[in-house]
Amino acid sequence: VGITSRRPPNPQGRNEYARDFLEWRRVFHAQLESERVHFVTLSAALARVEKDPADVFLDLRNHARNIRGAAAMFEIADVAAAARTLEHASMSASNAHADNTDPAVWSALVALVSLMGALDECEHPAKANRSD
Amino acid sequence: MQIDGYAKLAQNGSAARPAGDLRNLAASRPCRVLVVDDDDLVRARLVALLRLSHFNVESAASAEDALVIMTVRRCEILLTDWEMPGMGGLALCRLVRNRKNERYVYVIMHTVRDDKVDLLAGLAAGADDYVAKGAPIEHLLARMEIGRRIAHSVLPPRKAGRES
Repeated sequence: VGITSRRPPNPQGRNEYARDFLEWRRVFHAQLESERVHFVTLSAALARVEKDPADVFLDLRNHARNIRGAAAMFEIADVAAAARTLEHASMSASNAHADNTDPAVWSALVALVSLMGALDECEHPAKANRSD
Repeated sequence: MQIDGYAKLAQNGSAARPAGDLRNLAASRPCRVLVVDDDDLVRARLVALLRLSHFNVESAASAEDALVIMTVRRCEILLTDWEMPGMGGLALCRLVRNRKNERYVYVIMHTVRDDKVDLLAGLAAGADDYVAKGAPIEHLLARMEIGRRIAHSVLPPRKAGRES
């Protein structure tokens, strides 16, 4: 049987991982800002839609699910929870053939977008203080 | 910035030290893992974390890429996302199970889908285990260790110095 020697604990590897983690988290925060813009675009689409909003609900659900997965992996629990609420609200609205004023969807959408905006301000306080 | 549980786990070394007898098993035999996830960041984190836990890790950004990799290199554990552009993790799982004359691959679905119906669909497609994204990382690593144990109990031991 091929036995390899036991690898000792690798403190350098753990330090590298911790450093990498901070960088991944920074990149994820940057991604959240572009995702926030995308949710704003979807909310505009939902407001405009005149017939069946099922497609928009589907987009919202899929997008919220993606955000939930990544946020959960990065242990940003409040974003994951808000995304989950939107995911479920969108699914329920779609199943119920709700119109584009569904209050649960709007409430969840506003909560998620607000939360993402607040996170962005925490990461980039200068942007929040800008007076343009 | 506050360091979260994943990083803390890595810093205190828990991620690199499987408990009890598993530690010896982990040390004695490398275990090849293929991580499949379309999210670059999630994939990078999983790869780094599993390498810290002494898995030999490769990764793919899609189910299609994963199949290509698996035709040229055997893996013992497949850790795959469910929802990906293209084929998706469920179809990947079915294809892996339908491959004839292949050694057993232990499949873990790693997904945000955590409904009972989804769990059953994943298992019905041939997954051996199912871990929700966002579950504590200790859970994922414990499941990976189960996969390592089962893969090594199913596979015959490799001869020293050559590929079996």
